[in-house]
Formats: sequence, structure tokens, C-alpha cells
Amino acid sequence: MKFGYSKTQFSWKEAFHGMGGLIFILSILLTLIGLLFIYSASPKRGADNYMNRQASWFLVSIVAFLITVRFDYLILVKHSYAIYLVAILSLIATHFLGVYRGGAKSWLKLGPMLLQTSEIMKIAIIFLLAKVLSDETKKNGGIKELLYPVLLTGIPMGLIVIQPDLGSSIIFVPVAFAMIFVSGIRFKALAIVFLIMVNLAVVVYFYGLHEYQKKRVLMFMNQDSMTREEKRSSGYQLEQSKIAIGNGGLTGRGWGKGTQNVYGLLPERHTDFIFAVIGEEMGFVGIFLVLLLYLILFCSMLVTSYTTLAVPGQLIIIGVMALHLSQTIVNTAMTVGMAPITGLPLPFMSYGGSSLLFNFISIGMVVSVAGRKIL
Amino acid sequence: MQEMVKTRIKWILAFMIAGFPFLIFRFFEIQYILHEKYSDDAVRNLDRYKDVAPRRGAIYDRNGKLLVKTSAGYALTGNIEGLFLQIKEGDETREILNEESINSLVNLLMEHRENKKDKESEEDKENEKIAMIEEISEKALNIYRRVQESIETTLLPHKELAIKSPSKYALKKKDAKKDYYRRKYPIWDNISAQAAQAFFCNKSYFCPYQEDKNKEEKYKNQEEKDKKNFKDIYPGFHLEFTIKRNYLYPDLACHLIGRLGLVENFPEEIRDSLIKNKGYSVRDMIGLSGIERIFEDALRGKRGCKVQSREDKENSLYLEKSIDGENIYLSIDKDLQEFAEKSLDQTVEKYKSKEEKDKGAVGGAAVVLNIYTGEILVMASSPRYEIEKYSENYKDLKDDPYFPLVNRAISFYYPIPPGSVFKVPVAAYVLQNGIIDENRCFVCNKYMYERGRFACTHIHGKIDLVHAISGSCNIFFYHLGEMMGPERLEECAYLFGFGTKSGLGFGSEESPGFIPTPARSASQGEHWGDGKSRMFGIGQLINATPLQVARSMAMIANIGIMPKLCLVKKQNQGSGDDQILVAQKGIAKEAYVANEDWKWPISQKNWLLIKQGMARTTEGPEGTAKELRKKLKGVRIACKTGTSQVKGKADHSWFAGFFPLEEPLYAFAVLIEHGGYGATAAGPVAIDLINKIMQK
Repeated sequence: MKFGYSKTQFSWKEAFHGMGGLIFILSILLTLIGLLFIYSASPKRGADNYMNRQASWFLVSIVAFLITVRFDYLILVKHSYAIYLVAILSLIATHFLGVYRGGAKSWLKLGPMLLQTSEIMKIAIIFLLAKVLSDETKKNGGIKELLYPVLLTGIPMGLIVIQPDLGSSIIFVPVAFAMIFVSGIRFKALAIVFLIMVNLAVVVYFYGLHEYQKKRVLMFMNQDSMTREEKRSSGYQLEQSKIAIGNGGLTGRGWGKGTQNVYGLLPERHTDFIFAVIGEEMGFVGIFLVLLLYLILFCSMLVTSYTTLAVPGQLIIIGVMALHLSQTIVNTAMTVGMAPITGLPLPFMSYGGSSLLFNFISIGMVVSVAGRKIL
Repeated sequence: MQEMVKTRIKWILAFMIAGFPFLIFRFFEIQYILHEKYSDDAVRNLDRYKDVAPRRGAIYDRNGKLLVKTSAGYALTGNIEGLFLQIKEGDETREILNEESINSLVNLLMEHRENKKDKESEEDKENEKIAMIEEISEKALNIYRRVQESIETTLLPHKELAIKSPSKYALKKKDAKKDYYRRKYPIWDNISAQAAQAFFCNKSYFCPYQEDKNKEEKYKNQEEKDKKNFKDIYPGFHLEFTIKRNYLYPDLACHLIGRLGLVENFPEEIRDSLIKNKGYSVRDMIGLSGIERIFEDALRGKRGCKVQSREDKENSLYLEKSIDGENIYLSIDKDLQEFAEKSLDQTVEKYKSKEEKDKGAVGGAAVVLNIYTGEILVMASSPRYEIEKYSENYKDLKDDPYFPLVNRAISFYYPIPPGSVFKVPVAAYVLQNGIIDENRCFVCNKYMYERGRFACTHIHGKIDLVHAISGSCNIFFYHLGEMMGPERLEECAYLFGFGTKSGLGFGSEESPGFIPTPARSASQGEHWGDGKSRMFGIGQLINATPLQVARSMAMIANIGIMPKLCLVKKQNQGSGDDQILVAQKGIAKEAYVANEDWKWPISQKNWLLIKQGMARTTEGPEGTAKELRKKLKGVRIACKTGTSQVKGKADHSWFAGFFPLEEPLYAFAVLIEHGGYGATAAGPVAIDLINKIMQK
């Protein structure tokens, strides 16, 4: 084997003792808090509310987590090209056979359930980049060797953009960036990458965005000088979200008592704006605690990565962390107008079965790395 | 490499921990520093501004009998998308009625009927249910047909595409279908409040109507319904709160009362200007014709506005109270109007030609007005339509050969000469202007010149004016026409209100009528000879409506003073004090003002002569309507028959005059289109009506 680690051994004790266990417990804690507020944000309070559905997905996710933990990640890394190919094919299949949900053709129907194929791609790209970037034979940290990983990331991004799901596509950038950064790119090369990305962003803004998306970005820029008309149309979500959070104050209105939430004034409140519901009902204290939990989660991932001996394993953890970190930052920041409004969910908390399932699979990957000793 | 990775991980950790406070501070800013602003916003967010619709004014008759009222209620509407199931068979999709939905709806309606009988056999119930299902199914199928037609019409401009690129055409068709299949069409009016509640509770999760004590039960029911996915209990049916116009007598004075329509159905430009300039909203009703249109401003009232908090739905703050529309008291007498309409209907039916449709009577009209106040007591037209079912039956009504949509009392949809009734104004004119005196005689030998078209009905021999009126001698009036010449004939016609609009403001009264002049004849390439003056003299070339004829009779009865026509006795606001208002609001003012000086005094002597001639129509042995005298119950009338000729068809039958003879109070005119001889078709209708009025 190329990496020089011929055998690994997994032990549950190793996995849950220390950081792995903390990561798992934090994920469950965040999901439970999410369930609580999904219930509060459910328009229906009967048996058929969103919480019950999400809870059943939660159970499925735990099972998926336990299965993922048992996989040998090094074997997966070894076959990562195959996984990548399968994921690319599934994206192409989605393009032709997919189902529309919320205006984007990003779902594949598998029997009774719908699968968001970009989620598979996120996992696949982490494994593949872990393989490619940990290859020490081509290492000098220069800009040229970046071309290949960038190309590998660019292909699926393009496929997801045309679905069109810009949010899911953009999230590949921080993941790839973090993994490349950690794998030892020089700061000079980093500066060049940064400049290229800024230019790319400008091009995307003018040629790649829909009118409504441009409006959201503009609204984000001028949010303090919105006219009354804008507050009702393109700026509605942002305005309502800020009112909800501001209405919460220090200690919040109480669970199930936020007026913005209960009277349905906050749009997308059980999915993209679940954080605003927490802000309104639990106040600054609740927000602070939840963000702290996220911070501890990400820190413990970093620590796990730090202590892992195999580079691919380290990179996998960094990739997963970057995925969740970027989504968390974008989602929470957008509720208070620090980021433009994108359709990105809050990891573990937003309503959405498929998303929760893959969150736990990725956590499974992290715990798997933590629990595997290299012999 | 491992070392490098570790260093970089430290970097990331440092960035993350350094960035965390920024995010936290932003939340702190919004939740603590700006908390008051945002919580104010949140409270304001709970307010909902709602329009409060005013109640449209009611319409009464002159004696305070209610004719039209406004009531609030619930109505069921349906859309094709839910009412019809789409079944795929190979490439084709068939659409069949969703019977399950209709069944469950009927079950609900049966359960909450308003007039439930105490004891009812199962069989009766079953029958009623079946009838209801059939009715709703039929209505649904009707809607389906209408929708398909509408889709066809929308696609018409794109017909070329069908050949050029079928796929684009299919796309257009799909879009049109999608649009029309989602539109809601009325299905069932007058849903009882109970049924509406039950329907609403079944369909939506929150049920504001049920009381709290039933809460437990409610949740129990709710769970069962949740299982059924309550959205699909009555697919395709929707409940709407409506403000309905109730017509207590479906077709009484339908042309006069007029129709209402939704603002949203107007062409875009007009709709926008109505909304912008007059404060209508899209779902508002607006008068389209008749009284509803003329008095729109008074009837509609003023929209109010209230604020309601989402948290407290019980109490709301009125920013502006709505003001209900004013009630209108028509000058029409409901009993007389009804009577006139019925007897017109019967007479028209009687004189309809059984063999050839267009040769017999096609319709009729009757007008009675007060000669002093100008109040119109009766303005009947036959045939009529039911106002409520206008849009439903529009196609049939439009294509009806008897034109039920036309108000025959007032409109010139078809030129009708007044015929011999015009002889009365002519007689008044010649006497008053001294063209002849009462002793001047002409000789009537049936023909003016041995034979030809200038003929009379009888051989009257040597005849004077009084007898010429009662006997309706054509020869006498041919001579008068010739003597007067076109200028004076024209003046006479205008003096007595021919060629002039009524001034009531009806939209259907587009034309003032036609008065022939030499200039007009010349423009049509015809020479004006004495022949034309003669025909004009007996009322043949000119056109007139029954209202114009009645008005000219009123002017004669009133010794040369033209009354100001009006349809409304008074208007009042809701239950407030009566506000006597005789034709000042709404009615076209210019015509009203013009009437002010409409005087052309007739001397007492001449007036008596004309009255004598008109009285002899029924009383004299030479009178054209002497058979009708015995039908009159204790009242003497002054009248004139008219039989105006039409080429190739039966004559129009006219009967006009005023009564009581001694002290005239009312003027009247009755027309039966193509009814034949004046005294046989129109006469009896008028006499019956006069008897009825005098009995009152």
C-alpha cells in the first residue's frame, strides 16, 4: 500500500473514548435541540408534524452512523476514484431522471425515498481529495499541483450548478480549500488562489446568477437602507428573520411562543430559518449556547484530526469539519444579514431527512477515523 | 507532511476561535442593543389590515316593497383540477368526474340542511340526496364544458403554431389548461352557516368556529382526519364568503334594475382606473346596467378599514368605519309592474305567429307615468330574463330571436314608427299654430287619389279634426302633413319629445331616435316630396320608443308642460331618516335641466278639442277602440290607437293616451311589436292596466 499503513484495527472503545465520543454526543445533542424547535415551527400540531418525521429520520441516521463507523476508511480512500465515479454518474442520472423539489432537479427517486445526489458527492469528494492530497510523491506545495484537485472539485460543482442548486455547489469550495490548505499549500500559492477566487466570484455574480439571486446579494449589501417595498418582496425573508431574532431579546419569548414563528410570519422557519426560531424563542442565551456547542464540535474535530496519525484520515476529518463549519457559518450569519440568503440548511438542526442522514454519515467517518489504530 | 498538517490545523483553530466573537457580537447587537426596535416591529407585524366591505343599498318600489337586497353568505366554488380525475389510458388521458368528492360533499350538505323536516322517511332522504348529486354533477359538467370552450378561445390566436410546431402548441395548451383548471367557478349558493362551518373545519386544520369545550373531542376528530389527509376530503371544492345580491322577484323589471358585475372582469385599463380613481377593489361588485349603474355611487357605500391583531382575533380596531350604501326607492309600483309584465307576456304569446317565427309578435313594452311629477310607475318590457342567471344563460339570451336582453320601453334596437299615435301631437300643433281650425273639414274617400299608397282604413266622408283623431283618418292627416311641410313637422316632433333622450341615464338608450328631415333624405339620395310630408304626418317615417310616446301624451295631458321623467322617489341611508330626493342625484343632469323650461302652452279651447277627439276613440261610434269601452271599469280615458306599418311583416300595435279624462293624472303607452291592429293587441293590455291602477 502506498501510504505505508498496511493494517488498521478498529475498536469501539477507542472510537468513543475521548474526542470521538464527544463529537457523537454533540451531534446528537444538536439534533435533539433541532427536533425541539422543528416541533415549535411545525404548522401542524397534530400527529403528522414535521418533528415526528424528522425523528424517524434521526433513527435511520443513527443506524447509518453505526454502519459508517465500522468501515475501514483507508480502504474507502483506496477506492475513492470508484466512489467518485459512481457519484458523478448519479449526478448525471439526476440530470436526466431526477425529480423537482423546490425548483431544482436535484433528487433521485429510489423506491419510496428521495436521495439528494449532491450529498453523496460531498462524501465522495472528501475521500478523493484525501487520497490525492496525501500523495507525498508529488509534494512541493506549489501552485501547479493544485490544478488536479481543483479540476476534480470543479466537475461535480458544475453538474450541481446546472440543477440549479448554487448553494450546494458553492459549499464544495470551502471543503476543497480547507483540505488543500491543510495539506500544505504555500502561502504564496494561497494568495494567488485567493485572487483567482475573488475574480471568479465577480464573474459568477454577473453571468452565473439568476435575477432573484442577484437581488438577494444586493439586499444583503444594502440591508440597512431597504425601502418598504423591498422589505415586502426581495428583502422579506431577511427582514422577518431579523425581526424574529431581535424580538427574542436576551432570554427569548419562550418555547412555542415566538410570534414571528407561531403566526407564520417567518418564512421557511422549520428548514433554512430554524436558527431564527431559536433566536426568537430562546433569545441570545440560547443562540450563544447553540453556537458554543457548534464551536466545541468543530474544535474537537480539529483536535481529533491533530492527533490522528494517518494523513488521509486527518484530511477526511478536515473536509467534514469544513463542510459543517461553512454551512453553519453561512446559515447562522444569513439570519442576521451577515451573509446573503442561500438555501443552505443548518447542519443537524434544519428539517430535512436526507441532509440529516448524510450529516451523520460524515460524523460516522470522523468517528471511524478516530477509532482506528494503525498497526 | 504530518508536521505541516498539524501546523495548518492550528491555523484553522486559531481562525475559528478568533472569528467566533464576531458572529456572537452580531447576535448580541440585534438581540440586546436593537431589541426594542425589533420587538416593536414584531408587534406591528401582528397587525393585519383588513378592508371592511360596505353593504350595497337595497332597492324598493314606491310603496316600500323590497325588490333587491344584499345578503352575506357562503358559496361553494369548484375547480376542474379537483373535480375531475385524470385517468391515463395509453397515450390518452381521460377526465372523469370525481364522484367520491361529490358524494362526500353531498353527505355534508345533507347533514346540515337548513329546512330539515322532523319526520322524514329514509326514502325521501335518499331521493333528495340523489337529486342533489345529480344537480352538482351536472353543474360540474357544465363548468367542464365552459372551461374547455375558454381554453379553445385562448388558443385561437395560436392556431398557426399547431401546424408549425406541434410541441410549442402543446406547451401553450398545457399552460392554458393549467390556468383554467385551477380557476374557481360557482357551484352552489346559499350554503347554510352550519354546513359552511363543517366544511371549513374538515378542510383546514385550524377551526376557529368550534368552541373550546369541544376541544378534546376536536383533537380526537382531528387525529382521525389527519390519517385521511384532510386536504383530500372534498377535492376541487372551495368555500367562499360572498356578498350576494338577492332578487326577490327574479325577472321583475330586470332591464330597469340592471345587472352587477365583478370589477376584475373589466378590461385591464378600465379596471385599473376604477381601482385607482374610485377606490374599488378587484373583488368588488359594480353596477353594469340599469338602476344599479345609474345609482352606483349611492348604492355602493364606502369601504372601511380595520386593524386586527393576529394574537387577538376577537377585537379589532376600526380605522375607518364602512358606510353602507343608500337604499333606493323606485318610482315603480311593484304590483303594477308585475301586472303589466304578465299581461304583456300573455299578449305577445297570443299574437306570436305559429307558422312563421319572424312575422308574428316578438315582444312588447308598456310605460305609465305621472304627468305632473314625471315619475314612472310602470316600465315593462317583454320578454325578459332572470338577472341572477344572466351570465349562466348569456349565450342563449344573446342568440334568442326575441331579444330578451333589450329594454323595449326605451331602446331603439329596432326602428319602430309611432304610427297614428303621432297624429295627436300633429293635431295639437296645427290647432295651436292656427294652420287649421276645428271647423276645417277634409273629404275621405278611402283613397287620397282614387287609389295608391295614400289610403285610409275606412271611408270617413267629410270629416273634421275631432273625428279625424277618434277615427284615425289617414287622409285628414295626409293633408295636414302636406300643409305643414317638413320644417314644421320636424319642429312638432321635437316639441313633443321625439328625437330626444329620456334623460334617465340608461346605457341601453344610446340613440335619441330618428326624425326625418329633407337634409337627411338628401344625404341618402332621396328626394323629399309631399309624399314624405304626408307619411310623416301620420307618424310613419319617424321612430319612437314607448317612453317617448308616453311622454308626449303626458305633455298633452298637462296642457303643454313636459314633465321631468324620473325613476326614483327617494334615496335613504340605511335605516336613517328619509331623504326626499326627486331625481336629483345620478340622473343625467343636463337632460333634467333642459326639461325645466320645456313648455309649449296649449290653449284651453284647443286642449279640450284634442281631449274630445281622444275620448271619442273609445266613446264615439267612429272610434277606433270603441269595442274596448265596455272593458273600462268606471273610468273615462283619452287615448289613441296606432298601427304602424312595416314592410313584409305584421304591423306594430300601439295604444297610448292619458286618464282619467276629467282630471288627467297618468299618461301611458303600450306597444306590441308586430302585434297587428292597435286596438286589438296593445289596447286590452292598456285597458287592463288602467283598470288596475284605478282600483288601487
